Amino acid sequence: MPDSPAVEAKQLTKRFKEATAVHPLNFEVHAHEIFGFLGPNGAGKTTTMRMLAGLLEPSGGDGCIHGKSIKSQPLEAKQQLAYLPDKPDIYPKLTGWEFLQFIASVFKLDKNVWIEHARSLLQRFDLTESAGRLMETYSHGMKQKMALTGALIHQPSVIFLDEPTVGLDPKSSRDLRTILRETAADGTAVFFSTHMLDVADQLCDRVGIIHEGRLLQTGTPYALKQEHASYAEATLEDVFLRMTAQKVSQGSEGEIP
Amino acid sequence: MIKTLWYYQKTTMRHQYEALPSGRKVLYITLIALALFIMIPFGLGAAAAGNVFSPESLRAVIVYLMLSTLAVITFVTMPRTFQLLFGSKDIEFLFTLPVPSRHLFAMQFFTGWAGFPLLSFLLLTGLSIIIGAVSGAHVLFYPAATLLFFGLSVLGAGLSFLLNLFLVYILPAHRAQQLTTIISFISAALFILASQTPNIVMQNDSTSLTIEEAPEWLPTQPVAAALFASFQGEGSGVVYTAACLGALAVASLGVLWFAEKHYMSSWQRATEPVKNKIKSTRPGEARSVPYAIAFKEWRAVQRNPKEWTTCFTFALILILMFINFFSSGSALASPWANPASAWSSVHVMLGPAILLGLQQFAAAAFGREGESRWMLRVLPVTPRQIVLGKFLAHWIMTGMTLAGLELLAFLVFGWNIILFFAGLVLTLSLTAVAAASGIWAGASGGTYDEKNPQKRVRFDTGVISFFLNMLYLLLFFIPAWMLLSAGLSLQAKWSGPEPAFLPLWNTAPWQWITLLGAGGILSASGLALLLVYLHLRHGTKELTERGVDYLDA
Repeated sequence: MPDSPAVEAKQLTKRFKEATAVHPLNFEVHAHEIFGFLGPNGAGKTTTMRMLAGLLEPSGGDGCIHGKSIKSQPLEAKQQLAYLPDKPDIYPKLTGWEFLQFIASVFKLDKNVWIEHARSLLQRFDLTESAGRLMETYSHGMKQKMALTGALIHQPSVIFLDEPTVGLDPKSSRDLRTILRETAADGTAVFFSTHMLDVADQLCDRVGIIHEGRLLQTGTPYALKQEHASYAEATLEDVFLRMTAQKVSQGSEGEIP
Repeated sequence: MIKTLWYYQKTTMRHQYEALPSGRKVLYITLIALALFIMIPFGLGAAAAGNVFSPESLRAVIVYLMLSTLAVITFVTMPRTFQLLFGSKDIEFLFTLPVPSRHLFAMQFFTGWAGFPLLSFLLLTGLSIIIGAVSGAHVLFYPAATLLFFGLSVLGAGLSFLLNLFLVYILPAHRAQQLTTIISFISAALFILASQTPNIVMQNDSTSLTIEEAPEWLPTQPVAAALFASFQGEGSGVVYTAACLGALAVASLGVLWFAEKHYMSSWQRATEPVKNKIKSTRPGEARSVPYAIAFKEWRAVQRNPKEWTTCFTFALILILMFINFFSSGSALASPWANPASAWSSVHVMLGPAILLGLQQFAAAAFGREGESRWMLRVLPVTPRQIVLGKFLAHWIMTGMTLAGLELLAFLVFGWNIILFFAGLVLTLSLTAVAAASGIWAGASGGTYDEKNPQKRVRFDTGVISFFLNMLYLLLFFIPAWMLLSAGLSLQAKWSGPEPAFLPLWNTAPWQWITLLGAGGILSASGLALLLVYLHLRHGTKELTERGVDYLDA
């Protein structure tokens, strides 16, 4: 891969009529990195990810995937990325295998390579048995895992995941974290949003905190805790709540340090 | 409880109306005004026609018309009532609340009645007032007609609810979710039959306008008796009207009793997950992108019978033309006696049916993406590949089906091979144009309602597309005429002259006839190629210009 950042937001902005959902954002995510995008509901996380994945037209600025502009070179950019939405609605009238073959066709993957890769992913997600069934019969978690399998079979260099752990059982959630680590180790940039701050704390190399459409800060979880926490045992959750100025109910665990 | 539910329903309906685009509101108001405007001359015409019939014949006409109206209200309302009973999103939530299912049913019943049955009631009452005023009806006629038509609309709505509950109750659960399709087709077939009833009845004796008396056991006999007696101001009119309304009340109570007993269980059956019989565990080679998209479309249509309802207009036009061909003494009434003319009849029917009916099938292709449309947007596929893939899928599906029909007709009617080939070229050209114009309509005015294939294209786009296809129908007249003439002339050359509605060239040299036929084939395929190219190019342009939001119409 070239030296350019895997993901680059340059003054990336989104306005809906009168309201500005995302104020000009600037940040970078690099290969081998797991970047957690944190923020309260309605902060602009999904909007930002959808703009970077080419699902939403930015009102201003641009997003680049390995130097390819998502606005002016969308096909080249999309060749390198995968996106997993929070609600993975995938073709209900296709079986799991047919869906994966569709993805393999779009990315022109070699038959032996994609089948082998798909089999190994399906096995890890306990989907081997159900991959021959129509996806309309899947539970939310199964759809999530099948969509993730589809996102990973073409071995993207950037993967966007919007709340990927929602709806997953504990084993699948742990498997997902392991897969994301392995994927990042192989050189992929992983960009994901989550509300599960303990997961972000353990998994992310860096996090970005967004609030009301503005990126408050980016940094490693450790650095953020060092900068914003006033006591040694402070967690990322404490930092997050402090930074987004949310009130926490009374109690020893919830006190703002 | 009913009051609370009704308040909630009323508020929802008001918000639905408020959320309508202002253009749509204007359209609805215009349509209502137009219907009212048409009602006056229609009523005057009906009143004048009434004088031509003898009283016995007129009574028979009213009995049949009331029966048709009841059937139309019942069957046209069925798909909507199915949605209300089992498909509406709020019912699942309401079933978790301590609300008696009878109350829920009553609320849904009122909502169902407030659609087509209410419209029928208003139209029938309006018409009867005009007819009564023109024909000098007794004052008793107006309240009697109003009450009876109200009763008829309530009974029709009630029967549609009852039939839905009954069907869901008797059919296996895994079939329940596919019921709307069956119901739509039953509705369509009955609607056509009902609209053809006057024609069929009149054919018994079309010279004297005398119609045989309707059988006494028909349930609409008392309604006709009540209307007749009250029209003449007889006291029995009141008795008949009261009796009819009493019967209606009993029928309504029966429906409510059945509903209370079986609504919940029917709903549970109807909303059970569909059993999966499909297994595919043998993945294969990656395909080209348009072919992969086409294959995805094929699977979505093949595995969801609801998608077939978009071919409803095609079936409707074909059935109507078929009935008319049979009743007009055309060659199709005895196709084996005159196969060459039957060939002409078949293609004269297929042309409008394909061009005006099949484009909706392809137009539904974009809306079919529904909630899954993020997939195509996030994948590295171009608008051109999407348009081409969807076009190929719909052309192959419709073209192959109709080519199969051509082959069947060729074998059954004994057409010669040249006629068969000419028919095939014409059919494949027309299906290609229908598919391409449908894809253009879907690309430029698609709406993403994956659950309702009938609502996948904006109204304005649908109208433009319909008129465009009317124009194409006229354009195809020339190659069709060339093919028909050449085919019939060849047939006549081989088996001797046969009656045909076109001038035959059977005395002309072979070369001339062949040239005419070849010209027909070339012009049909050339015209098809041009129209397909223009539509696909414009469809691609529409998607490209809208950028990444191209699937958010």
